[in-house]
Amino acid sequence: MGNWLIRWSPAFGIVILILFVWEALVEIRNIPNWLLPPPSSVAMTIYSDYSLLTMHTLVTLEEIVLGFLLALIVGVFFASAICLSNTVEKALYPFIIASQTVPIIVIAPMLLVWIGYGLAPKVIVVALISFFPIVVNMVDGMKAVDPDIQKLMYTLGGKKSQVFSKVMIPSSLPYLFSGLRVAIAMSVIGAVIGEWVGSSEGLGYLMIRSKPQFQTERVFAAIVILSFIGVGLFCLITYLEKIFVPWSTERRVQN
Amino acid sequence: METAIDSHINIVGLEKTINQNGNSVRILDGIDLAINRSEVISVLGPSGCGKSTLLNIIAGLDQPDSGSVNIDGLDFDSRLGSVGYMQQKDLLLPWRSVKDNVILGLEVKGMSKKQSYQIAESHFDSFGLSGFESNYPNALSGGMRQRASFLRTVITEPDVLLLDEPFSALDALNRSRMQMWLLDLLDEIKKTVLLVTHDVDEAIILSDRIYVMTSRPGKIHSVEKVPFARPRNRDMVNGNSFVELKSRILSFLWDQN
Repeated sequence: MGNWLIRWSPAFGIVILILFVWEALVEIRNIPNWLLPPPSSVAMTIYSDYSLLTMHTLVTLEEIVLGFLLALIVGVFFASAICLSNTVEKALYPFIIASQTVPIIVIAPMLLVWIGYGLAPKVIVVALISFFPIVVNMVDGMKAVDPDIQKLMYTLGGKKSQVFSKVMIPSSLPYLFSGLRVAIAMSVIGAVIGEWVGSSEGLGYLMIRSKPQFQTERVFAAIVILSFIGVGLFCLITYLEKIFVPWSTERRVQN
Repeated sequence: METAIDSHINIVGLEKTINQNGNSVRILDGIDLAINRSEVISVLGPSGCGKSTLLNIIAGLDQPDSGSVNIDGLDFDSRLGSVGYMQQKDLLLPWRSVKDNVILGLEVKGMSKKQSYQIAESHFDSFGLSGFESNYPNALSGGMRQRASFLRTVITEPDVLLLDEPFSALDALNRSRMQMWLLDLLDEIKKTVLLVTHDVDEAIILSDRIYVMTSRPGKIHSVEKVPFARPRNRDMVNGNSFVELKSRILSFLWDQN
């Protein structure tokens, strides 16, 4: 733990410096709270509005996690189909790429019209925005397999399905985890966008509602929590990678 | 040709042309090989003489344009998976421990993990892998990786071993050690071995006969009998007959390409 603090001390230093300058500027210039609240009052808001913030945080967190898991399942499925069949690749890949050029901000309100108000449209927005890096990275990983390893599998008597399960899937895992790290950051944005276009709960909704009421501290409080969610989930993915892909992180020992 | 009736591997008139950037390139031009059971033979030739293509065809990975390969009367499809083929790179799977790498062939054939581990266990000592069974390949030295790859090839007990420049990635000293190690191993396991190499010393040290190939298109230029009885030891490289054979082969290869 102490080690961890020392390793990330530059990041903490920057945060402390920014908070200090920010606090001082607001104080010296006498900036009103509704325009730019000082960090101290944002912290106070997080403390005093604890239960309200927790409630909305849980909603947003649920959308992120469900949307991300949906993206993971769909992404791995598409990536596998693309790598197993040339026809599927030719048929699907262009549309998967094209799907990313459609602005999500346009799709999100349409989803609301099509499926309604609840959890589902937010989960879909999160999944739409985060499945792309998952598919692209996993396809790259599967295609990076050394053809000689495939030859090896066949000379050992392996079937195509065994090449897929014993070689292509495991060798694509480090790539998949790179994709997941990008995807998790994007899924936080996705959840907020999903809530902005229409919702009655969640941190995105809280921001939209608090701004016109000049409760700018609350907007900032939501931003702070969202950052923590993003960083926290990112760390969780990195931790899972160490567990599931220890061989790519284990260091080389010469003897 | 000495195509004895009882030869283990019988290859007749193998021809292969491939398409390279729109040009058709002739790789193999009528290769005949006859290898007796438990015989170790080397195919020696300059780079690009089609040695790897030859092995791919024998292993069943590739089809010849014409000619035939006959191993114990097996046809094309059943050869794949029954001939041990060790490629140039060790090709250990980085996500599997040494133990899980060497049982790969048993695993794809459907043997239980427990049983495969037992078989692997009995070999680790003679393959110099004891104590490293649970390590990932990236923790091993080049020689150990090569031996692990070797164990993976022989653990399924194929009658025929195809070795494609197995030690070319090692430094000279380690290569020499591995050659001696392989020499002892082959005396013990008695397989029919076809070794492809461009290292003349290696070919002489390890094999009973040497097929010398021309550069592309690959043809058999000559067959040399190696005049050393087994078991052999490292000292043979200093003898007159070794030096004479080596210089005869080298002077031919020198003029190729």
